Amino acid sequence: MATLAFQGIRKQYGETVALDRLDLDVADGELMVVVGPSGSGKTTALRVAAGLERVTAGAVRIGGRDVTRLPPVAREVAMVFQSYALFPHLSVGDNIGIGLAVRRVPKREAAERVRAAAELVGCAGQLDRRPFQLSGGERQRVALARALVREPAAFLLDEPLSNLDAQLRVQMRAELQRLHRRLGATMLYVTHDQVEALTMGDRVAVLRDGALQQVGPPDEIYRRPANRFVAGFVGSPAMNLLPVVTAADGLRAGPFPLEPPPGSPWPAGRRLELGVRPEHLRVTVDGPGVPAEVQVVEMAGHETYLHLTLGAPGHEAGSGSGQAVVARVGDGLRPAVGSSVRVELPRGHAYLFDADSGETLVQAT
Amino acid sequence: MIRDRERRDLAVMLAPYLVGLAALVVVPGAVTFALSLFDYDLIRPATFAGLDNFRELARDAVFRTSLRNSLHFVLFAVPVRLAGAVTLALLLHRRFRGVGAYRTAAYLPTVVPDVAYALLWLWLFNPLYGPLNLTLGALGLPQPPWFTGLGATQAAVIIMSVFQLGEGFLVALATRQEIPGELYELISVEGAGPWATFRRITLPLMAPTLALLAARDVIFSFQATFVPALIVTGGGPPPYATTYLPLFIYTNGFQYLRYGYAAAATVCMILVTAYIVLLQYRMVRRWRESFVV
Repeated sequence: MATLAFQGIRKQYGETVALDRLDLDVADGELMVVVGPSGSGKTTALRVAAGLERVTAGAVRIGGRDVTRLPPVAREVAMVFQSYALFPHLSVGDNIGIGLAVRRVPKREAAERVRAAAELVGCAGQLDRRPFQLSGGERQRVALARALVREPAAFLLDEPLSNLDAQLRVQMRAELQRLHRRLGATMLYVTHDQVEALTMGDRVAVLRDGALQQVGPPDEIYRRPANRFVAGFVGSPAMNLLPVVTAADGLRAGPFPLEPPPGSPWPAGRRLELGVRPEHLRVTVDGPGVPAEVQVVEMAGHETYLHLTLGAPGHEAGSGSGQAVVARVGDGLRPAVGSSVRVELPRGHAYLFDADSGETLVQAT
Repeated sequence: MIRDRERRDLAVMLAPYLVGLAALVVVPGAVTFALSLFDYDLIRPATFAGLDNFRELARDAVFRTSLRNSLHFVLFAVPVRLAGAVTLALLLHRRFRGVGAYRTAAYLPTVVPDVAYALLWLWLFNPLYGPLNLTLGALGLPQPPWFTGLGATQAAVIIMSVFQLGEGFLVALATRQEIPGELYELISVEGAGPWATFRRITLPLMAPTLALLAARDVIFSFQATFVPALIVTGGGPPPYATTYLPLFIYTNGFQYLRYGYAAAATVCMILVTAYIVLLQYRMVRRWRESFVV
């Protein structure tokens, strides 16, 4: 296996900038997940690594070797596409072995390697079948086996699970992680699904509009987002954002009064925004906090999401009433739609962002 | 109620096609089959001849030459036309500046009326002032005797047919564009060069359509020689060098007024065509089953 590095990569299509000075190092044996919304440039980054796109500027290094000008074949990478890209006229075995065949690996050796790769992903019993006879999950395994069989320097996976149903996706997620641990493979994994990113990545890189927002372990991305975009993109439901206003009694985020964190005064002269994740809003029927009206109740099995409007009718909510927020609550609380609850903002769980630049100013206030 | 009405609508919509099919294909086909068993010259009443016409065909040297010429034509023209259609489709499937003009140019000879097309080639092939031989002469290359040499005349008829590949080109182009780009990207990452990509991906994935095109072209080619043979080469020269089955049938039917004999030759042509298409179908099926890496 090998390291994979993007060094100052810029990719432009005409006037459109798909990647803007991307610097990203994937360590040897690391599973790096690149996540971002549609059009963020994540697939472009993957295709640049594969050699399917020429860069406008910058360099790609695989195993320390500059491969920027090399064609895909010389990069020794393997790719798994979202659509699996299986050849419909070839059997599963021939699909897996096509890379070996075009590289003229002796047939006997190729057959052994195909069988070994198929066994590794659990499709050894289907080598004689054709792709159209396989389910989505089985096709995905074949595509993985095809990537494995050449023992490449790095794996490039482009949303490999997004065509699978929810249950199979969870299962394949675990299998991919197991495979990664077993092989110690360098993997660049692109997804738009932040749950996939957080659960699978050794590290996660968040892209937006072609620019890298933050790179770090999943925990760091979730708990210490570099900016409002990362905070809002990672986590489901998304983080609640409340404009911060100056009131007579100090600062308020929506109806919540704010106290500056110990030892750090409020950043002066900036427009501010407060972010709080749904699980950190404390909701009670008649406890402390500001009143809110329940608009929608979403049951998600072991937890419930409440869509609330802060400042219930008939209550004196003060400034910031009418603000919509989402709160995640446990099994115990199941208020009716239209009923009134109380919402509290506990200390130590909110983020303060610069409303203009989006930069995170205070972590967990 | 609704089903009845749907059925009635369907019948109304199908009627023009079915009437045309009956009037232009089924009835003439049946008459041809029947006529092949008679002697008929438009003047005297038809007399039943049984299989005499077919027996005479088997002994007729001109018929055997025509059949051989037609088979030669199919053998050379079909692969060349197919290869031409695929090559053009592969060259012109990408988007680039001016591609529309090139595609139109590739299709254009197909829409020129056959007689005009044949007259055009009569000029192009003219050994004295035709631009083809003038160009070849200017380049210091040999100038084939297009309308006098045996091989050259037959080659001329094949060359004429090669440029009328517009429909095959369009079908091949559509088929190539249907192949997902990701398959090509994947095979390039896997390490295949252009030839391996063509052999392992493009050709097998286009194969079903190409088989269909080939079958269609065989049927077409048996008939396509008529206008060039009639107008450009006159069936020779040397004698009978370019007398193909359609010209043989035409001559016997409309010049010698031997309608029964011409009908028997037509039946033979249909049977030979059907046999070749069947043979082709079997070969392609076996070929497709043998796809391995």
